[in-house]
Amino acid sequence: MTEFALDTSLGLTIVILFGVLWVAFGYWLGRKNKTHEDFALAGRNVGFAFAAATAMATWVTSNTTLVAPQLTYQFGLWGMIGYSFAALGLLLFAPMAKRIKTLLPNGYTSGDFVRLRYGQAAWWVFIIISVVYAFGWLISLGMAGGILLESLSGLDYHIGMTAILIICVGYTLFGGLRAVIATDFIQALIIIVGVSLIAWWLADNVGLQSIHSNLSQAHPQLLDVLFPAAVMFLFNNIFFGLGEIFHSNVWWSRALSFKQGVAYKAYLTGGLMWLPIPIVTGFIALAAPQLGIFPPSADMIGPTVAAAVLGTTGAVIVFIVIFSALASSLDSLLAATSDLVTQDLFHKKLKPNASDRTLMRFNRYCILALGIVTWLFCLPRIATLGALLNFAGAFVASTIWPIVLGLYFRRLTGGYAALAMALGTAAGLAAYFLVGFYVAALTSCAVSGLLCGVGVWRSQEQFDWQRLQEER
Amino acid sequence: MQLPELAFTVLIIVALALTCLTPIILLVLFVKDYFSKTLW
Repeated sequence: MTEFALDTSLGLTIVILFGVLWVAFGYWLGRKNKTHEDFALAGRNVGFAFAAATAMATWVTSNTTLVAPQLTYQFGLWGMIGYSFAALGLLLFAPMAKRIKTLLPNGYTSGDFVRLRYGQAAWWVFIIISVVYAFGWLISLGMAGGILLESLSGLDYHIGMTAILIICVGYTLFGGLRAVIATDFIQALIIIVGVSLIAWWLADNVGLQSIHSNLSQAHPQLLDVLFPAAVMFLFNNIFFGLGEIFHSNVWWSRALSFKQGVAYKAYLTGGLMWLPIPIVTGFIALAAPQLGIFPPSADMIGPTVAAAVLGTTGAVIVFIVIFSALASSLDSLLAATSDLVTQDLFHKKLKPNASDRTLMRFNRYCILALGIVTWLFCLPRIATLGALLNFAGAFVASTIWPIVLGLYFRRLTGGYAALAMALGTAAGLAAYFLVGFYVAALTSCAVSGLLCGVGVWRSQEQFDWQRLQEER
Repeated sequence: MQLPELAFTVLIIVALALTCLTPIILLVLFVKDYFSKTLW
């Protein structure tokens, strides 16, 4: 037995098998894409089953499978409960998705909405935030792929990271959003079954009482319901989750791609299905101290525990689960970000008369380019997953109020929306560096909310919703 | 203040049970959409 739970050759074989399977599936699904709308929005005709699964699976990322156990390991109980509160993002987005579908029946992206609702200045701030967030997430996912393969099978970080990027770029390139959503459905099933198996095994063999008793004696702070930094983390995570979902084109493009009447119930169901998952993955980490497992890197606590207690079988399950979780988010992000670049920058700014065929081709080039840029950023392995993720919180939380008020209230103007996003982000970043990662999103959201409140109070304007119904 | 053992057990068991329910819900929805031809 080597120091790794999985043989390098077995790890590589799984990656190649899944890679071939996903890319072939993406190619098969892509045959139905005749127009750019088919490619970018799956023909705006996604049914309830796929819609609910994609909402859940996309939100189950490397962060749920790697960072939720890491935070539980660091913050205890509140780490996993706080993380599960990120489900609020999906639940609260449900009515918004319905509203988005009504207000923008021909819309493509979240950028479309910000441009039409608030104008150019706010649009630029929003695009910068979206790009920073998208790359932060893409890089964290690419790095997670490399770290996973390396820690479980000893495969070089760079080879693993390159492999997962090639696979996701491959099937997204061929199949567009249709492939992303269909693979999400299968990946959702794999993730849940795998995570449940590991947690059941731990509960059954190590025992819940035994884990609780060990923690209360050796690590009582992990069971403390009044752990101050952890309670702060809980609220920070709620606002981070809201910011991520409310602004990101990953969720907007899905809302626009669902059949009429599906968006609301799909996001609601997806959120409810997602809610318990971080608690289950976090629980796996709570067993670590009792099992004498202290990994060198906190973000590998979940996989290390599973591999240690279940041996090769556990390592294979963890490997496939995290691989699926990574792929289900990476593909979504590649598709949604390339839609944003194609629609908002290329179509609206550079080539307003571009043909449908040109848009579809450009969209594919974008996916490829995003994959290459992400790969370049992932090469130096710049930060831990949690640090990278929470840095983005300062950016996205500033968009919560401008998006919500923009969708439901007529009075907030573009100038205040731009100011709220820019100053909210600046305040969030200041809090991140001066206080800690656990207050970045909270501060960003509070400052942005204050400015939006002033904007609504001072404004005399009444936005005309008809202005959102842009001709294509 | 520490979380009592009973509350800890209930929390984990409920979360696990709900997680196990999810694949069943997804498969039922899939079958329903498949037969009513509303998958896409």
